[in-house]
Amino acid sequence: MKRFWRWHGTWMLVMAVWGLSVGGNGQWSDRRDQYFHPVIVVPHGPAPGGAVASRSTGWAGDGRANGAEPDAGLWPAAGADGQYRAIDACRYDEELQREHDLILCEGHRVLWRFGEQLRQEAIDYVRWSAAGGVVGRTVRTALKSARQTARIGHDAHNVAKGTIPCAGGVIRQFEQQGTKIYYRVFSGDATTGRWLTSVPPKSRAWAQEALALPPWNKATHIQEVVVPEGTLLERSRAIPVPEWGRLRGGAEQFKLLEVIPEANFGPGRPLS
Amino acid sequence: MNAVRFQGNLLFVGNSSLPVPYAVRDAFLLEGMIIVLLDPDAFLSDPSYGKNRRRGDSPLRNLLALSTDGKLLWEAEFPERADYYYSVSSRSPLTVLSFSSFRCEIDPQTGRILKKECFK
Repeated sequence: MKRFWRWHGTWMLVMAVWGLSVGGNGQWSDRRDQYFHPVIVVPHGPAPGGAVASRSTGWAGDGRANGAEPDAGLWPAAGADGQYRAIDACRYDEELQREHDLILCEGHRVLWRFGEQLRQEAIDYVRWSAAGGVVGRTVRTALKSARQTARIGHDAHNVAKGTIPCAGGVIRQFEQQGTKIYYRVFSGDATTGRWLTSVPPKSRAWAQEALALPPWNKATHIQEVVVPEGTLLERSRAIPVPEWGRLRGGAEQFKLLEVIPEANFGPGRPLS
Repeated sequence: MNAVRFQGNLLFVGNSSLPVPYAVRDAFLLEGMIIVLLDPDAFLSDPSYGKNRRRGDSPLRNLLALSTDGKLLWEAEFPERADYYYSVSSRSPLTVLSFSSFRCEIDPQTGRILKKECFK
């Protein structure tokens, strides 16, 4: 749809420019002799019956129109080969010339109006596109700023309240397909939590650094967590959390977005 | 001071018993109130609870304070919207652990979170 409107706009712009250059500045009227010759085709040789209507080009018996002969030297001679030749009838008939001029004038006027209309539409299109772009950009910028402000405020609020952002990388939410075992590291009595890994961490030290754990989670134990089918999870990567003295992060982590029973958290076993 | 005992979804304070909606995991007296932790597995495994949650009901707040005559005084605030508490790690100050990986200090007068720290 966007491509269509872009094409439409371009087409209108081209047509408007063309309309202006051709119709708007009288270029066509200047060139009408060149491009708008009303031509009639006459046969070479005498017309049947030899009669010619007054003040018309007519089928000249001798190959000439009645009345004025403005340029007798230009009248084509009758050909003996019976071939037809195109001639400029207007040059020999003033009335036709006037009609021709009127038609040209009217046509020119129509074309000029058409060009004007196209030009106006193109200008409107450009104007509204520009205005829309400016408004859109302004709104987008304002929204972005508001979002950033809200996020900064939210982050500050979270930090103040004890929640520290710890998810980065490609953050993707998904529904668990089929029941799956995940892993969780903990220490002390914190035997349940929503932060998991899909593979068991290699060691306590690795888990603490790569998962950017707070200093009070010593990762002394690891447990299996049964995540039922249909549970909503969020996949991300741990980001460095300087507040906790973790400057590395980078491990893949999963956050349970829905609560699951505590019974799904297996008993912990020591992690070396 | 009377001790608090519990069995299933019944609390016993002195000679009286108080029913609560789900099985009790922990209960104790604190500053003249009965602090009750309802067993999360009890309500999470209840089909009607799951059905109501899917219909948009708020999650059950499973840390409560009751007066000795059974009147509800407060339900503790959660650190995150969909959450539950699963363990009381300290009675004074009242500190509980949440599914959302927070250790929360709860105001015993209001049930509001005074302090929380993420253990991830």
